[in-house]
Amino acid sequence: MQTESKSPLELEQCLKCSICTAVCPVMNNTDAYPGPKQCGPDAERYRMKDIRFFDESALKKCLNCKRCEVACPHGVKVAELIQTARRDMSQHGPGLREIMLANTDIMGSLATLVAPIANFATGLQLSKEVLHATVGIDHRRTFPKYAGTKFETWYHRHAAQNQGQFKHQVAYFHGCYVNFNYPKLGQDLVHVMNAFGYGVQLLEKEKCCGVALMANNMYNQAKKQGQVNIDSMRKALQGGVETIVTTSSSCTLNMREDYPTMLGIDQKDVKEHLGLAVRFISRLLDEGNVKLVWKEGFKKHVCYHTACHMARLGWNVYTLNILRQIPGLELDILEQNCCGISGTYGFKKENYELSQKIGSTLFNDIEATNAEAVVTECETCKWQIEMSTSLPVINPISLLAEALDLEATQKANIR
Amino acid sequence: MKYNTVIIGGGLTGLVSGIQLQEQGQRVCIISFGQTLLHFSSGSFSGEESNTDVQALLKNAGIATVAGGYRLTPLGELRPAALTLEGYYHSETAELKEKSFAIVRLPKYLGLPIEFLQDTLTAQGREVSIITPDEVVGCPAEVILVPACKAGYDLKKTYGKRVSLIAALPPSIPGQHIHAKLQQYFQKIGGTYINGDKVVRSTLQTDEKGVRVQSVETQNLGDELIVADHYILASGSFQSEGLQSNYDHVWEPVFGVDTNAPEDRTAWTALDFFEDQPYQHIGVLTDEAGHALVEGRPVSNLYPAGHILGALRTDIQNLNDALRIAKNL
Ligand code: SF4
Ligand code: SF4
Repeated sequence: MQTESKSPLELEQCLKCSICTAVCPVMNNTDAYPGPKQCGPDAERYRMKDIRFFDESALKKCLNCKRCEVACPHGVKVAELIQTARRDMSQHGPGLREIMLANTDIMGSLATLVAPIANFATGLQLSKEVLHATVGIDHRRTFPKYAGTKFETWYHRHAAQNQGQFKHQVAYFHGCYVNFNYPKLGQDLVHVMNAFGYGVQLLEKEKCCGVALMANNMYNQAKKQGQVNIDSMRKALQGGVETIVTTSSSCTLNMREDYPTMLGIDQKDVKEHLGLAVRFISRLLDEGNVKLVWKEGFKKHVCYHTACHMARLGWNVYTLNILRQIPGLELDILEQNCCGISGTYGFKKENYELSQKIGSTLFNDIEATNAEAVVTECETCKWQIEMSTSLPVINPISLLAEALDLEATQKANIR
Repeated sequence: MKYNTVIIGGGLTGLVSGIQLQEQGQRVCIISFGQTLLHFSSGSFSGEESNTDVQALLKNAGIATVAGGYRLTPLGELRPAALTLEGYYHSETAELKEKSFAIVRLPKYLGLPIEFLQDTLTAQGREVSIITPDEVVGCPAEVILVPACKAGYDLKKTYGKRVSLIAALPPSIPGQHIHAKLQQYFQKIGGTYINGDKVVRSTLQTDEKGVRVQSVETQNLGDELIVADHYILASGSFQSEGLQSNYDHVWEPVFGVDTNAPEDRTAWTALDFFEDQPYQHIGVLTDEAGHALVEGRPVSNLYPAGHILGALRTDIQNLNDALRIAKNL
């Protein structure tokens, strides 16, 4: 007799409590989306029988924020049910816009070459109108700025040669965003890890993790890139690095959780050594293995936003553990709400208004704190929040770099 | 990660004991898997008698309540309630004191059986009308009822005391509010709340002094050992997976705490659906001091609380227990 209930993505565990519908940011802001319960476990039973029950226009509305999965009391993989249905049943290939938005690394490489022009051009109302009309990227959106020098270039010029002096080594998966748009975060990571006595290596080959490709239904390409990343990580681990750290919550969730299930990449051996730097650092602090020297008189008031994918990872506990140890830091923890951007979703013109509406609760909460900055691990949240509120957004690693006396900390740790 | 107390379960019981402990100066971590039974809340806390300590704790967290009296069910009956959220229809006696009622029908909203409610109130000799949101202004009825859904809460914001909320179908907005408020407050006073994560392993240690919990591990945190002096098990009943069952037995999945489930499976349910269902009385076993029993032996630092002791316990029973356990740690 079978005594356990088994079904793909825990579909049969659904007890129809509709709790997931209460937390779905899309459903709560538009009548046009039937919601996680209906699009996930409910419709899946029909889709299994007949592809005609696959309603792409509805499923496309899902942000894949995974808040439904976090809320489900019975472990149903609601968002994954929706995304696998899109992967397996969609008859439409991606259009030019999807290809542009999803290839964050190619777009980044091109833009970096001509960064001042690219920033100027994407900031220009005229080119925004052109993008809006031709490919459907909303003209009201602010584009992330491209940095003139890639993080990788900075690393090879200014950091690589100093890393050998450290006894411990970690590898860093920086992601497209750090490389092209925000090298400062990568630099902060290197400085903080160095201060703790850890050298930072880059992977032999790093590709975009593929999260945007997957959201735009380009699974084959995502799989190829994912395989390159996992192979490089494996090699780095064999070469003696202690762990692989990251700074982006979405890349991390994607590589840890979705690579095996959505792309069929076997990464079990790598997974346990791959994680956000905040996790690694929080554990170092708990074990008492590093000494910290804080900047004299540091004072700052921040609010912490748990990005959707950070919530799904469940690792905000590590960030909060670190932040709570910073003297002089006033910390407000925001109620968990989606910012509405969800990677490339909010860039599409048909989603712009909904995206802003979803984010409005969070934006109001942020303004109400009167904080100086928002802290979060997600880069697309950063774009969205900076565009929609008056506050700058920083990664916890950058905040740590700001609060620590890096030189003194490094002296204390390398002796 | 080291804490004074780890609480498994982030529902009403878990959060309230967490807040109490954190306020007593402990370092507390709550691990919660999925949303809780609060999502079915009626806006009242069930039970006969309220407790001023509980009411004060809720108030600190920003949840204002009225003690005692009766709540109005969506079917139009008055039921005793220990505490009711401010803003909800509430009666001090077992009879409706007002003579005239109006019920607001919200466009496209089906979560309240309006005609049924009208009938039952009429049967109690009341004058009852059904109105649209625009008719609230100038409505002569003594009481104007709006369903406690999102749009209903918006109306409440606009009209304040002039309208009273009444519970509607889940997912419950008042429950979400209570949960969010308690969770925010717990974190604000320094508590750690791990959301959407499941305890997948526990390590018990046995020595001459007896059995105690050494650590627990969760799905998302992997090989991270979560260590505490005390553990409160507030993971709920079957619906929240605090208890699990298959065709031949019932078990508590985290620590393997003993249960009072009858061995004979047929004894779990009564054939008549409307009868008292025995499975709702299934719960984990404790010794007299409240320690969990595992294979008949008390675990010296593990305290079950809330619905895991039985699904029919009232909110107030659970809350009182949560406070009592917390105060003794
Ligand atoms: S929360 Fe989970 S169990 Fe409840 S309806 Fe949604 S998928 Fe089903
Ligand atoms: S992933 Fe997010 S947007 Fe999609 S159904 Fe779940 S809660 Fe809604």
